[in-house]
Amino acid sequence: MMATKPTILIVEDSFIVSFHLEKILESEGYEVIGTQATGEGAIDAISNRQPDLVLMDIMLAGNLDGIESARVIRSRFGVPVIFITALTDHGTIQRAKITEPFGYLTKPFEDRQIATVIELALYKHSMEKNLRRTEEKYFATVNSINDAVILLDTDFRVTYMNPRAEKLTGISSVSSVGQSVFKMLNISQSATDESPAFFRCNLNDGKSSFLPEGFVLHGRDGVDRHIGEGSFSVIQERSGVVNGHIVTFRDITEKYEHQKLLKLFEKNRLAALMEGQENERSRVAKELHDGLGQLLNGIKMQLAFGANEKSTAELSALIDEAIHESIRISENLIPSRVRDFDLVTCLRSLSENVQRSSGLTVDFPVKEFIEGISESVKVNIYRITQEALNNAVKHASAQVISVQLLCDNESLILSIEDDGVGFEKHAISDPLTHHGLYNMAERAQVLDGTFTIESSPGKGTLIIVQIPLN
Amino acid sequence: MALRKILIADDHFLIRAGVKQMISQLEDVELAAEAISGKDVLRLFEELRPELLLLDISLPDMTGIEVTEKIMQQYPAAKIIILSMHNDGEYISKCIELGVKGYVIKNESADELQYAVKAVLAGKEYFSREVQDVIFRKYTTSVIKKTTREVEKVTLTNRERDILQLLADGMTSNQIADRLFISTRTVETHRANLMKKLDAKNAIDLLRKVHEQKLMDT
Repeated sequence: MMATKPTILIVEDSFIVSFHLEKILESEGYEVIGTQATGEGAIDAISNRQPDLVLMDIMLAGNLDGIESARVIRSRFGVPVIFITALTDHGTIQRAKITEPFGYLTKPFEDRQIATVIELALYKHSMEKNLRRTEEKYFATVNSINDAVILLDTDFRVTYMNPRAEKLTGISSVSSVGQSVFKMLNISQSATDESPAFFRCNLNDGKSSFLPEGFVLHGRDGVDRHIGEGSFSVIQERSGVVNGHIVTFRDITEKYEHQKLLKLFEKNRLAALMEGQENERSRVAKELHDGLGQLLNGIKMQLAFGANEKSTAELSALIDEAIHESIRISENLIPSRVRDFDLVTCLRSLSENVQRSSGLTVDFPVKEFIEGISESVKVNIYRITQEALNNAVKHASAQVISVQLLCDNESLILSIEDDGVGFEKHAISDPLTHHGLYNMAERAQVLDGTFTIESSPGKGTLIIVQIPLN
Repeated sequence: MALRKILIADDHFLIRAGVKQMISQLEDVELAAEAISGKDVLRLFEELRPELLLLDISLPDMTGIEVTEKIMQQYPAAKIIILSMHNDGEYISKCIELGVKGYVIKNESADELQYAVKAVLAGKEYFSREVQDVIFRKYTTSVIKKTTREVEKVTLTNRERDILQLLADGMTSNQIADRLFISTRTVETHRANLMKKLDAKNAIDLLRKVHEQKLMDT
């Protein structure tokens, strides 16, 4: 069994008895590492070298009697103690019991009896040590995990809370013991702010289940935390008897806030998109109504005055105008030249048109053709340029706008710079107020590209869009 | 003598009706067929080999430019007149480049189209009044650009000037980026734009050209 001999310390003030014991123990195969006559001496000896077991006379001379010494040895060193006693009176046994002795040897003892008691004590001690080690392991685990763990008895009273649970609830484990979990945990549904009946049902159900989403735990420390990713389970002994419940959950406040932010961002994005569409629609509607519609009205009025040679010519002119107007509106919606021509031609034509209509200088110094650009890239680059030119004309009070396009094998780089008033960059953090910029950035993003904007008051605005090609 | 065959291609009924009426007033010609899509045109042209094709610039499935390209590749002698909504220089020059014999804007007078048909059938070319204006304007601008140095002169943006100044001081892109509080990539983009504008091979060449053309002086 044991490779080395179990070591034993004898504490006995009668020299005869201790000598006798030593002989018996050695003949039984134990190693006696010393004999001491007093409790103090024994404690000293043990602090030098720990035996596997102590045989202790209950009646000792000196300040410490056997029982007191055993208590110290047990608590300080965790070494098992067997009492040797001639006394078997009730009072002494009661006192001795408190020190959790591992056995008694009653004088006078038989030689064989000693070995039996010692073996039993050593066995019992090793079992206890294992058990304690396992317990400690579990305890350390429960104590260190990031989940809050609350143990309940069968009546849902708290028996234990781990440090994480203490932190989240704001209640110490000690003061929570014995409290009803329903009274102790102040939980409400984050959406309705109601105390959730569901929580109760789940626990009372007696089965294991997951914690539903959307709960807020109002801690005693005044902090509200979103909790989730938790469970309710029944603690079952091996025999199948239920002896309590275990509740676990996590603080998901950060995750919750993050998701909330994501949702908000998505909402803003959609709103911007919808508003952008709405604006575009109302723009087209206005053009149809104010431009084309009025022209057609004019034609109808002319007709009402009756046709003659002169009015036919006027009518023809009006119809021409209506045709041009319809072309202009449709060009604005989808520029057909984007479909029919290469990107450089499209951008040059756009720059020329803006220069003509705004009276500003729009410089487009690109000379060569760039072929093989997909239509979606062309449309988006065209739109970004259109939007940027629009901004520069309408808002920047610019004199000169420069549009440049670079193309290597890997990417297409569009830069648009104006010499206008510029703006504070941090002022555009809210996408809802700057659709134009937002739309440009969105378009770049759709093409897996990047959108950079540099601007400061008085320095004009620079936009760079880089689109990967493949 | 056999009548000369004309194929018309337009997806709008009213336009086709107008064109048909115009054709019916002409002698020696007959309407061979009407096409309403690019695919139609290619098939019918192959089948009927008309002497003249009146082609809309935008058909539902193809552009007139694409159709013209395909036909001219196979039948370089084909006679095509483009009917177009666009009076943009780009469209007109592209079509001329491809070898069309005529180009007429749809909302010009019906006479223009008739002139065009007659002229092209007689072996000549015809570009309507408005088209001629556009071609002329395009030509004169290009002539002016070629002859006047002023127009060709490269202009620099404010940021490009800032960057050139720092480049001339011997700074690297990283240093310039730090100085101007912009990203290195932005500096690189400016540099690439400058090199391209001035057709420079490297930074030294760039600075030399800027100096030669006195671009920083103004």
